[in-house]
Amino acid sequence: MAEAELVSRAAKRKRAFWRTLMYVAIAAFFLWTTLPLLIMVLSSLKELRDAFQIPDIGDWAGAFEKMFNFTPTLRHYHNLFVEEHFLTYIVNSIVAAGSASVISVAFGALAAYGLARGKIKGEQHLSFWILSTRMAPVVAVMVPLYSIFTGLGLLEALRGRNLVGLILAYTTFDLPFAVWFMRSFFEDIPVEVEEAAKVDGCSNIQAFYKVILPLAMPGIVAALILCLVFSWNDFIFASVFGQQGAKTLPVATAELHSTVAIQWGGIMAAGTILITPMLFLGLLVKKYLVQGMTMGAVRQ
Amino acid sequence: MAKVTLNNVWKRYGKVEAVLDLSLDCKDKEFFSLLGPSGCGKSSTLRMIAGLEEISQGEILIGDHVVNEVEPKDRDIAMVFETYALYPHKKVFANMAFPLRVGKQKYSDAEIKKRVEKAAEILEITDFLDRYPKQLSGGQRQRVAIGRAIVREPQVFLLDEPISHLDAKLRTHMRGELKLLQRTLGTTMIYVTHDQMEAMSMADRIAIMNFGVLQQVGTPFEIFNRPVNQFVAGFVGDPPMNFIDCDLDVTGEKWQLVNESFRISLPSDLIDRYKENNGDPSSKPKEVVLGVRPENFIVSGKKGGEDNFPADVIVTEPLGEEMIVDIEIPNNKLKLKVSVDHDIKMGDKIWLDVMKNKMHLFNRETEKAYF
Amino acid sequence: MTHPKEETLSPPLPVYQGSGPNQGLFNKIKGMLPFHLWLMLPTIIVLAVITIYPFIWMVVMSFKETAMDPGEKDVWVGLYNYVRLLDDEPFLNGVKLLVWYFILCLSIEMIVGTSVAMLINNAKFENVFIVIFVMPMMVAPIVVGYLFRFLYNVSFGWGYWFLKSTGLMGGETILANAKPWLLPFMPSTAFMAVVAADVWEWTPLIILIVLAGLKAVPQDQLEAARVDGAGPVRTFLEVTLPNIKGVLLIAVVVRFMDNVRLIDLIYVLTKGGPADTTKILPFYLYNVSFRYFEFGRGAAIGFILLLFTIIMGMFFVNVVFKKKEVGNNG
Repeated sequence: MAEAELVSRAAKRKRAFWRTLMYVAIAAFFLWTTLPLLIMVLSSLKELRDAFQIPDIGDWAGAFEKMFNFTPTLRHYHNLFVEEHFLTYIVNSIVAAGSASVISVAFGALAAYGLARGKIKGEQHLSFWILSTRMAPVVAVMVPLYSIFTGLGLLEALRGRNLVGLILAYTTFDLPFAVWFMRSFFEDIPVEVEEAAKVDGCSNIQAFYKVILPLAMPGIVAALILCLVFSWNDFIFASVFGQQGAKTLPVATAELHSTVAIQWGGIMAAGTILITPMLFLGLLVKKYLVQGMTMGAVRQ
Repeated sequence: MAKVTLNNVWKRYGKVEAVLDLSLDCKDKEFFSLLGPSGCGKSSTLRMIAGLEEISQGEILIGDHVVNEVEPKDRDIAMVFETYALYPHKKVFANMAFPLRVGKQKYSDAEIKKRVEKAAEILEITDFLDRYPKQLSGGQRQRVAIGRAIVREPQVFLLDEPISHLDAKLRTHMRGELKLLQRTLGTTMIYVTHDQMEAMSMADRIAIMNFGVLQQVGTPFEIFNRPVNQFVAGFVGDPPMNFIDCDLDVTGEKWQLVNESFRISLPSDLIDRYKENNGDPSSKPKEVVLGVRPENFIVSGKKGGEDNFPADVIVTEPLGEEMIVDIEIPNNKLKLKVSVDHDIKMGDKIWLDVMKNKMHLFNRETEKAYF
Repeated sequence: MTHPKEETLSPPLPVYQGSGPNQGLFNKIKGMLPFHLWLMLPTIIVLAVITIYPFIWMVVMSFKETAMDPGEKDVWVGLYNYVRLLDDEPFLNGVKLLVWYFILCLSIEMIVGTSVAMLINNAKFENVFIVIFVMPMMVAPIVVGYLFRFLYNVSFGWGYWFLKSTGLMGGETILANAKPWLLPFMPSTAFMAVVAADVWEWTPLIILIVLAGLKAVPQDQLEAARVDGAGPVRTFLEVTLPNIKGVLLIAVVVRFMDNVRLIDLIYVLTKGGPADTTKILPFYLYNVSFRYFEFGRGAAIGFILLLFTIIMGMFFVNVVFKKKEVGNNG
């Protein structure tokens, strides 16, 4: 019937309209997310002169040209590694973030398991306490922590390279986070599987590492990666606890911004170096992110 | 010696008493079932025997050893869980081999292989040894769980509703399989279930529990024919026993059960049994409950003897060879199970008599059986 | 039912050897705490060190006034530091700005995040989108700061160019612009610029959380709504929203806790300026403690911030636990 056709055509057009709108919205958000990163990476490869080039206001056509037409150069990167000793800082970052993450996840896994399984009376309070470490205004905690560390002589422990203080500092926020994150993954393991292991002949500890640990591994690995990301990205703790010999990448990057001039090229390059490994790690961990962050209240 | 003994065992969760003063004697090589509705304490009991739960009070002995303080791994028991609890990250072979690898006794690889393959053969899961649990169906997983239990050749098997998650047909099949398996292996088996058909068909003896209290222990025959109280009588048997309130009217040698629907005389052997267990009754009419199983009614189209009484047919449920008939008498709805040969239709009026030697009488207040 | 006792004795069973009542010192110590508590011990120790001591320090410090010259002792002033805050302009300003920051960032992130999550939920390239949209979260806050500073620059910033080219921006500068944005009572343009950076970095987290929540909406409720004839808007309001309420709350609380500690972005982008229009409370706290070295006052401010956060945090744990009891249906 002609009428039905008209109605369905109108409906189709309406749907097409909304669908297009949807695509536009997603595309816009996509650009919003990726363009800044693109600009940073490109700028790191441009001579400063090129990097500072933007089209005239309103000149949309010229935008593409200005952004992509340049002679790429590795000067900034070269600069970072040769003049600014960035390799040392990268190594520092890797060592500090890596160690702190491993320590945090190792102890954190035990605690997360204990929290998940043990019918501890104050469970909710304990969870809250762990959460509270994320609440503390960092600056207010910094001073007492600093005094503890200097008191223990940790910051002067090793001449030249005192990453130990930094590693410990990172652990202070990585460990609670690791516990918080991994807990729901341990809860997901059915109690019966653990009981079966005990009946089959495992002691408590054997049951833990033969059965529970392998099953919680995805969560543990995700926690490890996230601890890596947070420690690697940290600026505040590193700037306070990282002495001369323990400068990390973010702190070094900020120093490119001296009172004299902002070395934009260097900053863009440093930024690119900073984020690249983290982006890869982010890919690995996205599946477990939400479950861990919401303490299991939301599962994917 | 693999008998299991419970002496005055209690289980408390805080203030809640899940198991009260339970004493049981499970004999060596026996197929012993713990039967009861959800929450009756049967699972708690099994878990205490396994060592997965603390015993609040009392003793549990496996063989002649008190095992209250013994870890599950040292009790020489094997357990099959309701949810199978297979190790998802291990293949079937590794699942079954696990107990042999972690226990106190060290088995050689060759010995492990032999045992696992033998168990797999018995359970017909040899084809799956190389698969992961998630690749198997429910029934297959269940057999793997059983396999994991039998490789150790333990003293006692503990099974916690192992077939309740299988579909009806498979359940029926597994009942026979499990009974045969137990006979073949000759190991003591304690089997927890809420399904009375499972317990009746498989067990040597059944212990029925309700609200944490042991109601009766006996062979299926005893439980079925000599229930000690209304709960046991009503729990076993499908459809369940009918309970009808009436009065016991004793005048001299004539004992009658009376209510607004009928007047039924008690035969002399039942009178004797009553007197044996309860002494002489008073002459006052006593409030009792008459229990008759659906299959113990005699149905006819017209009034026969004096004890016959009328009833209206509400619904008929044909089941093939038999038929369940829902009937109504004043103040009561009853279910009958009769052969399909009876020509009964919905809305009919029929006459009923009760098989005299199959009557059960209960004290209306205590719900205990008189005989 | 009793049975006559068995006459024969069972042979000694090797399995029971050694597993009798706890023997030896090791077992005695082991038995002092339940197994699970032992596992938590290292963590609890660390937690105690980093929470209890700093907390006590902070509280005690907040009752003192830090000496100006090194070598002089701190003076005990009781509640003076707290009382002073009531008059303290920058403090009140900081509070006001923090509240603005929280409200603006949260509302934008929630609206945009939820919308995007709904758009990509079950879309064809959902996984690809997730991968790409997760990226900003992984970028170090300090890099975000510098990146946006670069973008906002009047001479060479692409962000500036875009805003001017599309006519979205009237004024001449971004990060130096202290004028209220759009409406007179709103915070400065510079402030909004910081908000934009925050939104860029953290909307992905909201997207992920909401997406997971969306997937937990029971399929049958959606189908029932469809059969009943509800349109997309109706379905969203009456089926989807109630089901993701808990999830949204969690997102809000998590972001609140992060906002309250935010310094990195401000530090790089504006250092609190221009004209103190971006000096949110955490940053003010940073200044007071580490630029002016007035630890006493800083501790007082910190304590108040902490109090606020604790309340929110209790909320969070409550919601999380309630959800777990009821099972993902809120």
